[in-house]
Amino acid sequence: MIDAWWVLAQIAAGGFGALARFGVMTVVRPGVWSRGLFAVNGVGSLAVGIAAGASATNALDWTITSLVLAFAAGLTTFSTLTVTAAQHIERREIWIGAIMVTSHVVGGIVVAALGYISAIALLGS
Amino acid sequence: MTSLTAKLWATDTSTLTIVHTSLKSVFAVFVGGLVGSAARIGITLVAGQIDDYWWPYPTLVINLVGSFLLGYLVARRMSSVPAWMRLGFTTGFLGAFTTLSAISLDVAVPILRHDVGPLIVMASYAIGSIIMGLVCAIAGLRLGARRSGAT
Repeated sequence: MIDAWWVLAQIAAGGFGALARFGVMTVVRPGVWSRGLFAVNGVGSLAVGIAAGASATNALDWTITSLVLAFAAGLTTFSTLTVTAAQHIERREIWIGAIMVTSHVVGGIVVAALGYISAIALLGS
Repeated sequence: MTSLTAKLWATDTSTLTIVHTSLKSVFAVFVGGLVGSAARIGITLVAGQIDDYWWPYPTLVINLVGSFLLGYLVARRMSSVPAWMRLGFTTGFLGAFTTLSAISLDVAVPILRHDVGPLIVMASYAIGSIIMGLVCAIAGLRLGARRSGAT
């Protein structure tokens, strides 16, 4: 049975995540490499790694963990990344597009792994 | 003096207009973010009820659909639609509908647990997300540009 309040809390967390992304991307000027986008995707991936690691050690309640995951899901975005990279590819800046999308995905996996390991190392004992 | 008053009034009015537009944009992004999150969570929950999936294909489908739609809307420009509404749908709805953090976590955890089987699947999922995401975004951009040219 799915708890309606749990779902609503997750939706709200996602909405606040989107708002935070808008704030960061408004403040940080994009430039060629879309630094604001890189920041939100990096921070969001790090946050889910830390939350999952903390949850694995039972240091963080599953309710809080799921809210962090929902916030990070709203904070990070895949569509803006692919469309920005695709625009570079369409302008024949193929390497910029390819490096951009690969660095976000691989970088996201690396920082999530680092967050997970760090949380377990710090909270596991 | 009159001209100074008029100048100040003009400045205040334009500042108020900017603030008003910004608040509208912020509200639109928040509401769009809520709806986008609700749609993503809804699809994931429904997929979980129908099928006890072992790899996150709902996230892949969501990301591909979102990439195509955003590419299409960016190319269409939609200059007749108010900026705050465009922002609400693109940055708010589609931004929150699609996600990168889920991919990061889904791939990172099997790597850290040395689960070779899931790792191969998740690595393929990440590579597939990159390639198919770009293909969908390009398809959306080209279709949107073609439609813009037609209208």
